[in-house]
Amino acid sequence: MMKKILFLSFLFILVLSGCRKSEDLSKPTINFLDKCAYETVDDDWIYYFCTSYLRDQEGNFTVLNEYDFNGFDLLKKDTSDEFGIPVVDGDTGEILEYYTTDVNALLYGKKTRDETKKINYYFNSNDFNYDTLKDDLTKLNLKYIDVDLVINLYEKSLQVDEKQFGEYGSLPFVKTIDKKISNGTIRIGYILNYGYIECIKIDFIDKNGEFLSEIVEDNRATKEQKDDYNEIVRLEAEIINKQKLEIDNQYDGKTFSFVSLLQMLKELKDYE
Amino acid sequence: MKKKFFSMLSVFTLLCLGVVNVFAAETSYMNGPSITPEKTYTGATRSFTTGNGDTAKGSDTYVLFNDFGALQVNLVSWSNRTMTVRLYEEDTTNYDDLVKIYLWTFSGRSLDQVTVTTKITGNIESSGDKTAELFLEFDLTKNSSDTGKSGSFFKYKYGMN
Repeated sequence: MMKKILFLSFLFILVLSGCRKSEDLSKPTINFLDKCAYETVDDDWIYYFCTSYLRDQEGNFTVLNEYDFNGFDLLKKDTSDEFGIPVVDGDTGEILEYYTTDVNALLYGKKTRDETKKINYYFNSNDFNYDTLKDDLTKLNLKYIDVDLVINLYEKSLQVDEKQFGEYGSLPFVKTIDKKISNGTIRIGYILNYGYIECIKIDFIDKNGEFLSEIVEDNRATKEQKDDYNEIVRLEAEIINKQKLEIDNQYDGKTFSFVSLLQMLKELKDYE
Repeated sequence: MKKKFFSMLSVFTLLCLGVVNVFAAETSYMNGPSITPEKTYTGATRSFTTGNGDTAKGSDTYVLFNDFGALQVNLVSWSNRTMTVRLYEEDTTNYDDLVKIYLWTFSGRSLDQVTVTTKITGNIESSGDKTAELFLEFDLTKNSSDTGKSGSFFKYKYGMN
């Protein structure tokens, strides 16, 4: 009898450990940690500073990997600069052309690219010294990027708490997509932080190229346009609060429809 | 009679499609592959016929990229990462000819710059052969802390002038 009980207990433990194993297999171990801080600049831009860590021998995230500073104009509203990725001739060093990008970034701006690279180079070099940080960054003679903002973001990134890797780890870090509908274009852009939706922006661009948000901000909107804008703002907040690239209401506005938005969110989720 | 007419029309259409395929100057824009770091991704081989001169040349070939996004969150932010895209001319009897190399460098998870080097500017086919068979290889470097794939983060097309 005792033998039987022992055998059954052994079987029970075996089954339990088996369950645990299959659970672990479905979720790969994440061996890095991103601590990122964000700041909205001039309404349309979101600047960020990420401090990335790797695991030490005990499995803790104590090994500094790298620093990453950049910024995104998710809805591609900024027309004050030109954006693209330089293509360089390997033999002559000459810039041949610029590849287009699906999102505007400080790194891709013809005006802001060099400054963004200088900042990243400084932080990731041996010259980086917190005691002389402000002086060192000031010496970079930045014209477009505010030194205090960078320092503030860096300091904020260090204060971010460690968390589990989020649900959307298999999606691009940043993405903007468009969908043409009969009366214009819906545009959605997001930034993911360690698998979490950090920011999402939704807007409608009419056939004249005007953004709904700008029409509302300029007090030129009709009541229907204001209603649509308010609904968009509410949906953005809902997506962030629920941490789901989904919406569950049935709103059909003048400028956009629930169906179109739902399709776009599905497209973003299925992007891999 | 009607049947015969339709069958001849179908044959004619198929022939036309075949001709278009053989003499295509470039592919249409395609979504870039989702690449596993350190595993070479090899694309399909396509035939292109040059409109310049009698023989297909390396200087006539090109790859165009656009609509760049960012790498997936599951790949670690790593500014030492590179991706190498190699354009080959397929050679069934000898080694494939490496025609062009596109070296991509990254800043965090964003593409920073592309450097293109042409390895063969002259003939890539024997004299008088205007049609070249081209394919691409993609290699993304791996950080030991990476998990999963890159995601499709660009569009591309290739062809020959």
